Parts: sequence; structure tokens; C-alpha cells
Amino acid sequence: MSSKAPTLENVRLVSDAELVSTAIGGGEASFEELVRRYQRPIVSYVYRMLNDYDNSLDVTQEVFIKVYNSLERYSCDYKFSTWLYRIAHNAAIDHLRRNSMNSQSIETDNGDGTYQLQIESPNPTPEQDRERSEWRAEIESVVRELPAAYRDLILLRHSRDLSYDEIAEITDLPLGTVKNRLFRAREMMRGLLIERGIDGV
Amino acid sequence: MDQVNTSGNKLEIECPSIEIAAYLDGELSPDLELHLEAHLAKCVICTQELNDQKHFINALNSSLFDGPELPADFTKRIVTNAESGVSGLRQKKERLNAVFVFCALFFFVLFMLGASAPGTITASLDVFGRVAAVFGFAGHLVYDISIGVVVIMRSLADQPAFGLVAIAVIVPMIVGIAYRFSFLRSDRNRPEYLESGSRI
Repeated sequence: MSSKAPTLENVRLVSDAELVSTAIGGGEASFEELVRRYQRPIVSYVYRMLNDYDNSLDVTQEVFIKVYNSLERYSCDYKFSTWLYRIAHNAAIDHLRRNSMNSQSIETDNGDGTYQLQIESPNPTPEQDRERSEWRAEIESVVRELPAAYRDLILLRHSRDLSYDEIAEITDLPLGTVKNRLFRAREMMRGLLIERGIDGV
Repeated sequence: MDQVNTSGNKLEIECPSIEIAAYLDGELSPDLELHLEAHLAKCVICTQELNDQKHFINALNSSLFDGPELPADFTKRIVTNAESGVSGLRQKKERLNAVFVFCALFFFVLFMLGASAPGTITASLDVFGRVAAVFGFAGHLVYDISIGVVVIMRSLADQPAFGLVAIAVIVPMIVGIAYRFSFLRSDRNRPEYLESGSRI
């Protein structure tokens, strides 16, 4: 792996691992490119986890600052994206825990590995009502209703197309649990959509 | 869940919905994949379930891919804040420079204080002396306790039952230390990059 800092022209062609290496060596353009590559997916993931736009921007910024301060600890034997998502996952869960006074518990395990639904705000805004007229908005809305432990897996799998193995590494869950929870989460979503009269699911 | 296929036979795979989900995610082993495909070929119910799940997964993928719009200066803001952090990624040379500058400033301040108020330096030296005295006392205490233990051990060594007592005390201690050590080792089996992720 070359430690020579890539130029502004070719920085977009360089692998994540090489960017990390040059960022550690002081390449500012390399870290900026890493941020540019992953800021959208990370904001998207955190936003849907927290359901709060402003906080998702703050948490994403916090995630990248932690990444910057820990670049030397990154092992290129593993995918950078997995490491980054693990940090984002921890930050999002920490944020939900800190703010758990305002919402229901994020870990509402019934004891048999299943989770209860979180009840959405009883007074949706007119904007939320308008959104629900669209198919995509219906799915977004159902995702918001999922317990955080399910929502997390749905987002990692369907928003970023991560494998079960990667999700297991990010969430620190056994592979079998990832498979089970993901299936249950989808079943819960399908049930909710059917309840709302959405066909084809 | 036992389901019945169109020919009236029970499915060979128990509760196949979860396996169908893993199949659509491309996460089934080749053996299980073949097994499931053979089952799907003769089971209408599971084929319908496969189609339903596939439709739903496609809808999820297309709905959740996009995210919210970002502020125009978001990247720059993150990079600037990250690089302006005091802690974190710093070159060794930068750290040495920082230490050098700190020491230079410290001695400069000392010099200035010494020139204007000679009593200040004497007072600070006195504080250092007191702290050193406390550490000296603590060291002496440890030394005295060690001597006491040695004396007790020597006197016990003269007793005939000492061997048994020593075994009864020392063996559990060694076992305990070994157990603690093995516990620490097992903690380190976790990949380092995951450790850093969890700490973060």
C-alpha cells in the first residue's frame, strides 16, 4: 500500500484502505474523500435510526470525528465500511439510550427474542399525513415504528445492502440472531403494511 | 410451522419462510439452496411466499436507498472540525514540537517568576520536597511490611506443618492468578478493530 498522498484528481479512484493510510500520513484530501464517500449513507442510516434530521447530522459529524481520531487503530484486514458502520451503530444506539426518556426503550425484548412495537406519536403532523399517501413514505413510516433493534438490521440490510456477516460484526450479534431478527422485522413490517391496507406485500 | 403442499405431503423443510428470506438475501449455503429449490419446485405455497418476500424486499431496497439531503457545506464542516480537534491524529514530530514548545514556555514562565519574585520558586521547590517526602514515607512503609512478612515466613518455616500450610495458601493463589490471566487472554481474542469500534 502506497503512503503517498493521492492528488485531488485521482483521489476518487483510490481504495478506502489506501485513503486511510494516506490520511494517517497527513493527507487532508484523503480524509475528506472518505467523508465524501460515506457521509450520505451514514446520515441516511443515522437519520432513520433517530428519526431526527438535526440530531442525525450532529451524530454523523461525531462519528467522522471519532473515525479521524481512531484511524491509526483501523486494521485494513477488514472493510473500512464495516468499521465505520460499527462506529455509527454505536453512536446511534448511544444517542437513543441517552434520549430514552423521550421514547420507549430501544431494547424491549420479550424474553423469547421477539420485540414489541413502539407506538408512534398519536398526533402525526399534516406533513406526515401527506407523506403517507405515497408508497415509499408508507415504508419509511413502518420502519420508524419498528423497535430500534429491528430497525437497525432492516436499515443495514436494505439501505446499504450489507451481508449478514457484516451486520453481525457491526452489531456484535451472533449470525443466527441477525438472520432471525431480520426475518421477524420484515414479517412485522409486512403485517403493519397489510394492516394499513397496502397490498402486494 | 408445518405446511401442506398441493399434493398433500408435509414440507420437508420445517418453517421454510426464514430460509426463503435467507435464500433471497443470498445467505444460504449451496447445499441448503439446492434443497430449498427442490422444495420450491413442488410447493405452490412456498413459491407464493418466495414471490411475496421478493416483492417486499425489492420495495424495501428501493425505498430505503435514498437518504435526506445534506447541507451544502457538510463535508467541509466535518473535515474542519475533525482536523481542529486537539486530541487524536497527530504526527510524532508534531507531538515532539508541542512538548518542546510547552517546556520552553514553562521555563520562560519560571524564569520570569524567579526574576520578579524569588520567593515563588522557593515555595514551589518546597512543595516538591513535601511530595517527595510523602512518596518516601510510602516506600518505607512498603519496605517495613515486606520485612515483617519475611520474618513471619521464616518463623513459620521452622514449624513442621509449614509445608502443608504453604501448599494450602500458595497453590490456590497460583491457581487464582492463572485463572485471572487466562480470563484476560480470552478478552484479547476479540479482533482489535472491533474493540476500537466498541470503545468508540
